[in-house]
Amino acid sequence: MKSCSKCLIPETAEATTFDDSGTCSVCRQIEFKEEKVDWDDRGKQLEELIAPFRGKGLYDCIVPFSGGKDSTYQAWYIVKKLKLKPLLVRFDHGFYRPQLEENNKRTFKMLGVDVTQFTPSWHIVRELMLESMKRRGDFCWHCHTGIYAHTMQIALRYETPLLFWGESLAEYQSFYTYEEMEEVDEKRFNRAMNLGMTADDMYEFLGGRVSKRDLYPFAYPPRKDLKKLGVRSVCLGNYIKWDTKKQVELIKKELGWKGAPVEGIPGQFDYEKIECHMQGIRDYLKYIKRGFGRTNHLANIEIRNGRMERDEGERLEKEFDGKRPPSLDIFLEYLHMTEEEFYEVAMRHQVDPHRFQPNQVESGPRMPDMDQWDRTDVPWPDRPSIKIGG
Amino acid sequence: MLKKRIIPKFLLRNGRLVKYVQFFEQEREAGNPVSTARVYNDYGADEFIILDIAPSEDSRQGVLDSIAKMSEQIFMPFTVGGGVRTLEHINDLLRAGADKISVNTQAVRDPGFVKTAAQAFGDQCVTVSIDYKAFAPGVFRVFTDGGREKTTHEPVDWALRMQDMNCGEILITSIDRDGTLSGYDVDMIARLNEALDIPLVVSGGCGGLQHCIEAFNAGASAVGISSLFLFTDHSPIKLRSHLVSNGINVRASTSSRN
Amino acid sequence: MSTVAIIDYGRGNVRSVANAVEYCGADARVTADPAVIDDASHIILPGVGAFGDAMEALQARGLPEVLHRQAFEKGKPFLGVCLGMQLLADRSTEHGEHAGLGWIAGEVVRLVPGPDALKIPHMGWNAISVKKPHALFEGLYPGQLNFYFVHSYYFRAADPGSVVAVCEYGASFPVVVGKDNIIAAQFHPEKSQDSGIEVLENFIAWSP
Repeated sequence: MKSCSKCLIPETAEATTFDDSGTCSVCRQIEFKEEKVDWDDRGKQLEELIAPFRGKGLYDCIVPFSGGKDSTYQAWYIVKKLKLKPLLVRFDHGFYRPQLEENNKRTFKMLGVDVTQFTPSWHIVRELMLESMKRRGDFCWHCHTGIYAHTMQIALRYETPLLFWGESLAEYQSFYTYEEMEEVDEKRFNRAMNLGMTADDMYEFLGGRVSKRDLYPFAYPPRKDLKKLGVRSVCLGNYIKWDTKKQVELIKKELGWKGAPVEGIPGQFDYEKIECHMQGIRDYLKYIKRGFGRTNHLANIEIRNGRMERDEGERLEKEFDGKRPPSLDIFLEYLHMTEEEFYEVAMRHQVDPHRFQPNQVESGPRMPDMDQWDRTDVPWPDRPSIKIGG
Repeated sequence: MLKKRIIPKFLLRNGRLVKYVQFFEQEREAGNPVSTARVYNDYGADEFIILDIAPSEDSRQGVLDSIAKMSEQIFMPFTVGGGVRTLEHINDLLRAGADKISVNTQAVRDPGFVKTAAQAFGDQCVTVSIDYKAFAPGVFRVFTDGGREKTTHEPVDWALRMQDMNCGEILITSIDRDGTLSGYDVDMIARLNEALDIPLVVSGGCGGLQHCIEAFNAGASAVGISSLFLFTDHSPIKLRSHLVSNGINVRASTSSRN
Repeated sequence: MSTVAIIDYGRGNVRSVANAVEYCGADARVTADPAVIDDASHIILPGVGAFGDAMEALQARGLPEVLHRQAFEKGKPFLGVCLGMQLLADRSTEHGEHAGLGWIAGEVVRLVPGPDALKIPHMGWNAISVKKPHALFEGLYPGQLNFYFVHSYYFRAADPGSVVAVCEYGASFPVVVGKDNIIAAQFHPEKSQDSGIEVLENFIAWSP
């Protein structure tokens, strides 16, 4: 597999292209961010954007909030720096970890914010996980659609037209550039979030196993309703210069936010993705399908910021990416799946030109809080087979 | 220069999207037609093709309603086919929002129909769709009626004859390769490219990014894709970025925004 | 809000143009009625099909005079699309010789395959280069200037000054022509996804 001449991103990454010198489009975007973007001007644009919404409705804005490093920083910045009254909206994907809940309790108290949380039915969620796993080798559809669709539904319900998401997609991927300043709309949702499958599609795929109303939390609201409300749904990271590491230091200091170890990544990145105990499976699937995992991604960020040498990144990637996460046992219980079935489905979705070598897999370390992850056994007698349409 | 095109191809059966292997085997649900069209518009696919594979009096109005809904929210070219037999039907499809119509069985029954349609609606509007199958090694015949009826026509001769009838574009589908993810019929593509002066859309067998490069190198103007997009994690965005990085002239900007 | 009259003379896919205009937030009126056209702030002349046939259809509805008054006396922003662009020429040689509206000097002639044996029709997405800055392309950067084309004839402009943008297909030829409040594009903005929608938004906001 080819990879970038600067960072370690391989050619299987979703939207990345490589120029004649072999440099990837994400590295070019970060150069643009560092050299070309006038961040003072972007700051002024942010003030102009906010002005018409400030003090107008029940809330000044909505902040989608998991409690991970990015959304915690968003909430802090919006309350403390922009002096706005936000509504924090949580879409519970079902896999929150204990450290996260503890952090959140503290964050909410310190910031003095209203929070709403929606938890979709587990019976529906696992149907969606299995179907999306079968069709794309990716079980996260319910989370990645719900976070966006549900949050937009709340914006309509509370008539709060301004929404602040976190980093620009241009920070890590090439769906958009820093020049474009993407709107977080249905186009972005279809392009980068829902794996090309809408709630209407899921309804057809599941052939009567779920009803249309069961799928409502995952359905993006109609454009005309959002337009009527005058929704502006933007990435904070297009207006302020995103720097994860600095932001993590800040929330640790200001809010007492604590990190946690995460499967498949070096301990130095204890701030990354602590919001989901299935993260290790997601990253392992990506490794099976595309030949790289989260350590590659984290090293790339460090390399682009000049905080890590390429060699060191390669060394870490080799040591941490592609290890069988112990949480796979839990995942298989959730989906009533055997390990053979897991590999069969995952390997159907390998992205060219990557080919996974199943016999070279080693096991990764067990997370200290694993005993606290929910393992309630819920019967699923008529579970569909792993065959599409089965 | 004119870009090579990426064209998702969808089959409609009684209002549902479906997909088979080799036209008849392993029926699978493939989603909601209108929301699927919207997704592929947002992905920046270059066009899409939608074929009614079980056309009837009832399905006809359903197709018209679907494409009318699609054209309210998607702004890309699309071709509609399946059961197109009359000029009146073509007119209805174009008025509902289709840009091109595709004719298959009716072209075999009445080759002059293609010429009449091209005259009435413009050459560019009329795509002739050719489904073909090998019946002996290296010997191919055109099939009609959704792959059910064998004809005496050889695909390349037939494509040339249709070009003479002023159709704007040829869409070929290898029945043998359809849904198998085993790769395009590159020999047939090369033969057709050599013979034809009009654009050639190829389909049947695409199962990977490299297959598209092979089809383009053999002379295809556009690749038609179903299973790869429906049942694997290869999206049009992934395909496009792969083609760009491999020097194929597809539409691209600094990002995948189109 | 802008009201856009989309001229319906029984040819082509007018519904798509109307849908795109509405998507941009303007009021779209698909019409051949002089009173409705007179009420509109902007006018779009679409069209797909053969030149001679389209001219006849326009004439049968008395539209050449109606449109001329709107564009030249009232000075309304006017956009020709595809065949609607070609109709602005003096004449066309598509299936015989036909007179056009004669608003922008030039003639419509067949694309020739050329030495590279290019496929005709010119069908699909092509990049354009803008020769003269125009309100239509405001806010689009070069990577976004890809549009959907489908045509076998092109507008050979008599006055190079009327050429706003060109495209390469074998040779370079004009794809956007205009003067004053009149602008016309060979490509289909209503079928060119984001870039096309931006062009239409620009047109709707245009007050030359």
